[in-house]
Parts: sequence; C-alpha cells; structure tokens
Amino acid sequence: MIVGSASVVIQYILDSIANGSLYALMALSLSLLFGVMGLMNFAYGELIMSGAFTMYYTHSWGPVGMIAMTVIVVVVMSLLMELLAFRPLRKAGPSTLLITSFALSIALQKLAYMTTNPGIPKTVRPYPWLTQQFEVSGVLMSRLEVIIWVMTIVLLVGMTLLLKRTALGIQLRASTEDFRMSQLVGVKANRVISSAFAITGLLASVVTVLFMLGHGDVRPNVGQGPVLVAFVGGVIGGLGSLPGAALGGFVLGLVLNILQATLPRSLQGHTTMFAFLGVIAILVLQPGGMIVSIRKLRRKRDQAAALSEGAPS
Amino acid sequence: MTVGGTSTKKLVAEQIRVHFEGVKAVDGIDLELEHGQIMGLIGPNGAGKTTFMNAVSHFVGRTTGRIILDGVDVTKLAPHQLAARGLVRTFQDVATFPELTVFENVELGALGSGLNRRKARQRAWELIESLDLSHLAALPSSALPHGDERRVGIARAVAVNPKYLLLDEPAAGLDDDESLQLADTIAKIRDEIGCGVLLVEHDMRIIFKVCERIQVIDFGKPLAVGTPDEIRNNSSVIEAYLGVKGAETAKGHHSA
Amino acid sequence: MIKSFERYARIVWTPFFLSILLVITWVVVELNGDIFYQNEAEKLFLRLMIVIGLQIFSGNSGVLSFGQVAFMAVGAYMSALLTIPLEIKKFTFLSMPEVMKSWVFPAHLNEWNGTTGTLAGAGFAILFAAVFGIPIVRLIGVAAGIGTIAILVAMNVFIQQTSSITRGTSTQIGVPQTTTLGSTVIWLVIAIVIAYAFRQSRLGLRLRASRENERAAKSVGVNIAKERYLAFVLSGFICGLGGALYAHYFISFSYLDFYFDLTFITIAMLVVGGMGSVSGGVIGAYFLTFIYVAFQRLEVNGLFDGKAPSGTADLVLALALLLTLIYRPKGITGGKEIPFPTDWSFRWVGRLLRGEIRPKAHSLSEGLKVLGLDRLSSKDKGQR
Ligand SMILES: Nc1ncnc2c1ncn2[C@@H]1O[C@H](COP(=O)(O)OP(=O)(O)OP(=O)(O)O)[C@@H](O)[C@H]1O
Ligand SMILES: [Mg+2]
Repeated sequence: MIVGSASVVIQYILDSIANGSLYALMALSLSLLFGVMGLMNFAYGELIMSGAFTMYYTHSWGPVGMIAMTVIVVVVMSLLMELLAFRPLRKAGPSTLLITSFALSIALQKLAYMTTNPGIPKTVRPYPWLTQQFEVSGVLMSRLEVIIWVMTIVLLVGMTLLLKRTALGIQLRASTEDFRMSQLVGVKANRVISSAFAITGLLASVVTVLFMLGHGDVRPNVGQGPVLVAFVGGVIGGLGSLPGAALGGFVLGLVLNILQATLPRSLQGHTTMFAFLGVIAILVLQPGGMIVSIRKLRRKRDQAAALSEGAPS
Repeated sequence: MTVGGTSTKKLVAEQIRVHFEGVKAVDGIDLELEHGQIMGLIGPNGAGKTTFMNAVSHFVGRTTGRIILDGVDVTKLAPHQLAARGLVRTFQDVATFPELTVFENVELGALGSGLNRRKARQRAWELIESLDLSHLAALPSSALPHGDERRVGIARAVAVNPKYLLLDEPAAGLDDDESLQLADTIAKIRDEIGCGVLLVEHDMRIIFKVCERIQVIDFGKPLAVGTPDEIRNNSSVIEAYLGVKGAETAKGHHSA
Repeated sequence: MIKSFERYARIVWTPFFLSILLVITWVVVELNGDIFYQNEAEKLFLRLMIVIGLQIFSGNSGVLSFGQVAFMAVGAYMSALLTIPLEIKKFTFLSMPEVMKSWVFPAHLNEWNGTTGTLAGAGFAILFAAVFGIPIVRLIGVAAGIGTIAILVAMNVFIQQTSSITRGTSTQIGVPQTTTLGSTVIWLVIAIVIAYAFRQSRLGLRLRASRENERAAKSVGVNIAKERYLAFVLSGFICGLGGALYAHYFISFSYLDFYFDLTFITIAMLVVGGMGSVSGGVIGAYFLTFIYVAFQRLEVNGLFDGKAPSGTADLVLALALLLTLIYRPKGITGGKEIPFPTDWSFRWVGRLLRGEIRPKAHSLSEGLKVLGLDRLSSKDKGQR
C-alpha cells in the first residue's frame, strides 16, 4: 500500500464508523427494553437471525419486497416474544427475565436449525451496487457505508424526537426512569411494553438489513456474536440511559474495528476478550456506565464551583 | 481510635445529614443514646426517621456525619460490621427471611453475634421461647401472621446480642393488645440485655409508656429533645406532630 | 438409641439418597452394556457435576452465573495439558511460551495417575475462580448475569485465540483416558456431599439468608461479598473437577464443548429441578436428560413413520425451561431437599384430589426433630 498514513487512519475510522453505528442501534434497543422492564434481552440476536433468514428466503422478491417483509417479520417476532414469553413473567425479577431470554434465544436458534436445513450454507447475495467501493479524495467507501451512516443518524434523530416529543415517548422515558413509579401515575404497562418491543423490532429489522447486506452469511446463530458485543457496549455506556447505551455501542464497535485492523496479528484475536474483561471491571467500578460517571463529574464540578463562590461570603 | 469523653458507654450520632437528589431527608440530626436507655424517635410521616436510622446503621450513604459507638469512631464501618459490634436494627417492613423457618431466622441472628452453631441454636431456642414463638419455630416465616412476623424480626435482632437496638415502628400493624404486649417486651429486652434502645414509633401510648427520653424531628431537622414530660408539653411538638388530641393521649397515659 | 440413630440418619439422608440414585444408574448402565447409554450416562454425570457446582454458588446466593462452564474449561484444559504424554505434547505444543513449558513439560508428569491429573485441573479452576470471583461477588441481578457471561465469552475467545497453549480451534490429541463411569460416580458423590454440607453449614445458611433478603442479612452481620466469594471459589473447584473428568473421558475436546450450549443445559437442569437445593439439581439433571434422550431417540429412530427433525430434543429442553420459569419458578422440588422417609406424607394426595393444595409446612415436632432440637428444648425446660 502506498497511501499516506493520514489517509490510512481516516480509512480505518470511516470503515469503523459503519460498524459502530450498527452496534449503537443494537445497544439502544437493548437499553430501551432494559429500562422499561429490566430485561436484558438475549433473544435480540434471534430477531436478527429471523430477519436474516427472511432476507434469504425473500431475496428473489427484489430489494423493496425483501426489506418490507424483513421489517414485518422481525417486528412481529418481537411482539410475539413479548406476548408468549415475557408477558407471563411480568412480575418476575430481572434475573428470571435474563434466564428466560437466554432460553428463548436457544429455543429460537434450535428451531432455526430444525427448519432451515443448516447443511446447506446460505448467504444473502450482496448487491454489488451497494458494496462496491469508490474513492473520494484518497479514501475508499461504499454506498452501503453511506447508507448505514445516514440510516443511523435518521433513526437516532427519529428516536430522540419520538422520546422527547410524543406522549408515548414520554411514557417510555418515564418507565425507563422508574417503572413502578410510572405505573402508579397511570402509564398503561401493556401498551408501553408492547410499544417498546415494537420499536425494538423495528430497530432490529433495520440493523439486520444493513448488517446482512454487508456480511451475507445466514446461520442460526448469526445474531449471537453481534448481540454480545452490543451488550458490552451498552453496559460500558450505561444501560440505564438510552443515549449512553447508544454511545457505548458506537464507541465499542468503532474501537474493536480499529483495533482489529491495526493490532499485530497475534493480538487481533484477543481484542474481544479484552472488551469482555473490561466490561466486568466497569460493572464493578462504575455500574451505571460512562454516562453516570460523566454526570457525576459534572455534579462534582458544579459543587466545587458553588463552594468556591460561597467561600468569600 | 477512642474519642475522649467521660461516659463513653453510649451511641453518638453527630450532625447526620442524608440528602437525596434535592431532598434533604435528614438534615443535621444529633443523637445520644446511652447504654440501658430507651429513647423514642418520633415525627410525622416522612420526617426522616427511617432515613436517620438507615444512616446510623449505614444502610444508606451519609452526606455528612459521624457515628461513635462506645467511644470508638465507627463512621466508616459497613452495616454488617456495625451489627457485629452490637449496633443492630429492625426494619419498618419487617424483612424476615421468608423461606427460612422462624427458628433459622433467629438462629441467623445468634450466629451474627459470633456464637458457634451449637450455642447459636441454643440461644435462638431460648429467645423463641421467651418471646412465645415456640409453636411457630418450624414454620417458614412467610407463613406467619403479621404480628408474629414482627416479633420474629425483633427476636432476630435481639439474638445478635445488641448493645444498641434500633427498632423501626415495631408496632405497625399490630392490634391494641399486641401493641401493649410489645411495649412490655421492649422494656423486658432492655432489662435483660441492658442494651440501649432507639424506638421509632407512631403509637404514642407505647412511646410514652417505655421511653425515658424522646427526640422529635420534622422535615429532617431536630425539633425537640427531652423527657416525656417536656415533650408532652412542648408547644412546637404539639403543633407539628402530636396535635392537641395526641398530647392528651400522652397526658392521659401519664396520669393513668 | 433409636432416636439418636434417626438424628444421624437425618443428617446424611439427602446425600445418601442422591448417591444411591447415581450408583443405581451406573450399575444399570454398566450391566446394559450399550455404549450409547454409557456415553449418555457419562454426559449426565458430568453435566450434573456442573449443575452441583452451579447450585453451590447460584442456588445458595441467588446470584445467577452463566460463567461456571468457563471454570470447567480451565479444569479440562489444564488437566489435559499436564497429563498428555510428553512425547506427544512436545509436538502438539511446539510454540508454547518457554515459561510455561518449564512446568508443563517435566517428564515426571507422565507418572501421574488419573486422580492427580483431575485434582490438578480442579486446582487451576480454583485459581481462576478466585480471581474472577473478586469482581463477580460484588454484582447483583442482571449485572452479575452480564459479568458472568463476559467471563464465559472471554474464556472462549482466549481458548480460540491462544493456540500455543490451547491448540486454538483444533481438538486435543493424546489425552490419557483415565476417567471411567465408576470414577465419575465417586467424584460426583463427593461433590454432592460437599454441596449438601455447604448448604446446611453456617456459611450456607448465611448465604441463603442473603439470597432472601440482602438488607436483613447485613443486619445480622452477614458479610455478603465474603460469603459469596467462598461459595464462588468452591463452585469453581467442583466445575473444574467436572472439566478435568470430562477431558479424560471424552479425550478429544475443543473450545466448542465449553460454551453456551453446555451453559444453557446446566442452567436449565438446575432451574427445572429447583435452584434452592442439591436434590433439585440432581432431579433436574435426571429429568431433562430423560426428556432429552427420549427425544433424541425420536430423532434417530422415529416413532411410527415420521422421525422428529434433528434439534427437537434441544427445543423441547428450552421449552421445558420456559414453562418451568412461567409456571413453577422454584422448580420441581420447590427448592427443598428430599424429605426423610418418615416425613413422607401422602396426605397431599387426598388434598390434591379434593382440590385444596396449599403450601404446607412441617409440623412443629417434625421441624424440631429435623433440627435435632427435640432434646434441646426438653432439656432446657427441665432446667427451669
Ligand atoms: N431513596 C430515597 N430517595 C429519595 N428520597 C427519599 C429516599 N428515601 C427516603 N426519601 C425521602 O426522605 C424523606 C424521609 O423519609 P423517611 O422514610 O425517612 O420518613 P419516615 O420518618 O420514616 O416516615 P414514616 O413515618 O412514614 O416511616 C421522605 O420525604 C422520603 O420521600
Ligand atoms: Mg419510616
């Protein structure tokens, strides 16, 4: 490669942003469910999986049909999950919900193994138009990457508007702050939770489409890896806070990608290991995630300022 | 680390403050509880009594304040360490171990005082008998009626062999008979163990029956402290909490 | 005389009963001689080992761990590493770091017997559990869940990526086959005794108390993190033991054997049987194995004309777990140990028929006998 080092760095960063964006969207939806009902949804990976299979089987319908069908299937799956597995456990604690989502995740994977003949490798055929790279002032990028950036921004802005401007959003946020409290003030639990699952499904379907158009391979456990990373990102950022989780997912996706590209080969494989070990440390030292620590810092600074103002008088 | 002073056999809480985001639940309360003394802590709902008790037993982080137990600064100790040193509390919501038997609940208290298994069982059994719970000993505590469960909570705390016992509304939800019995029980515990008791209670009959000193707080701040007589006649206490009727109840009890 | 016999019999009853169950299984499978059932039995036993390890920590503390299989992996890999004959490992671990070679390659390791190798693997598992336990015991609920998942994933990535020590994604070669069904049963009996003794011990009681109410546990002087830590390390030991035995039975194993599938199945066994008791773990393991093997047979042999599609067994397992969580969250045993025979009462059958089943408690006299207190109380009364 005879490219200037600056543009190499830019190249890495650009490539990684797309990766980070997908994780941001995943972590955001994980954190939404966590906030609303204390659920760490392991089975989120199987939403991605069901979307991936839908894409594989509907590929021949053309992009519009395929995407529409994927969105429908994933959203319906998400709502079914809530209805069949989590609604009966509404009163259970977070640990029970976690085992439930774990069981659900395994059950769906096995179901996929049973019904899709895993002997035959499946790929979502890429659209060359999307993945072909082109050069812009010395940096390579693809249309897919650009679409991912745009979609992420659109969805994040959309989510922000939804949460800040609509009645549903205010209820969702209230639930994220304190579920029991919001029930007391009359937020309808079923409606809020179903909406949260619907939004989760919607985000998951977008993630699936964008992810699968780039990666292609469709396997029953295709969702597991990404979801684990998104978990970690969400925890690092702060699962209790929607922007925190999204930011955490984004930064982790970005950093992992950059490390994978830049570290010497012998260390590359270990990057995810360090990420997971790091998450244990964060859970212990800063359970609220980075957002909390930033807030704490800010509060300390404000306090200090207030004290020093008060001192002379 | 010993803190100076002539009589060190007491629990001292100095300038306790607990502020939650914006809410000053406890804002500068002092307390001195002598060994062998029963002290009442009263105040309207939301005055900060439970929070104060949490702060003393370190179940909640304090914004400021020091705790000195028998002359030793124990401000930094964790709740379980305080319990092992004899600062033991009960909970407003009872908080027994629901699936363990009544016996195991009390045994756990006795284990907490550092006894070995055998001795702990013996002590637990003695306490269960003396608190008249023996017919319930083998039941899971979740199966008990409320009043009995409260007594299990107290038995468990007493089993830890407290030097200072903090009771948070032990009579809540009890009927009249049970409440009066409870007052006797508290006095009996003090007499037998010789511990200091801090009693948070809304039932003024109990407070004025057993307490030797009473501290009144409101809005997280100290309102008054003194003997039952002083409190009964304190106009600001009557205004803020007792009300004219309550004061009469208190007086009525006095004259009885 | 008879009374004191009964007192001691009560103390050993549960582990005795469970051990008999294991021994019977072993004898039946040995006599039957079908290798398929022998392997299934060995799998059951080794999973049960992990279930017991999990019960010690999660069952008593109420903190769910998804990570115990990682300690199993440590036991398996370390035990294998130490016991593979020198002539083989010289070639299969060419690129191992020199520091490590110095204690993995000495020739005298060739003389180790199965027990030593197994205990060495379990020893390393203790070390790992001792390190990871420090952060984990400080976490609660979902955070603990995520933390332990992180252990599992990190361990898996490590094994995959560190081929100089673990052979990466390749399977092991040359692990001596020293585990037999019989030796597994012996180790299991030991594990059950340990787990049961722990549960009944002062430590176990305090840990169970902290599971039911953390605040209240602190108020009686329980140092929750400390007690959890001890349970976590003990659990790591049992899981490491399971791993070492696994390595020396199935001899060629890889990183795939110690990941989400095994984690899932062991958690399912414990939850379905009832986390709260050792009996629950054993019963859950047997119950799910029975279902699993039955459906596996259906996949292979079919019933009438149609075969069940492969994967049915796993799916049924997951459904069993889901249904348990929804309808009987405390598991089959409800978290209780198997009662002493004289306490067995079939009154509930009649009650069930009359439709008036409600949570029952032992009578007082039974309860006191269980506690060995019948004597104590009468003696006390005598003194008064
Ligand atoms: N964790 C918390 N976060 C925010 N505010 C709190 C918290 N705990 C208590 N408070 C507030 O602190 C105040 C004091 O509460 P506390 O429970 O100590 O009162 P109390 O005197 O025990 O009342 P009661 O007689 O009803 O038991 C209340 O206004 C309560 O809302
Ligand atoms: Mg209170």
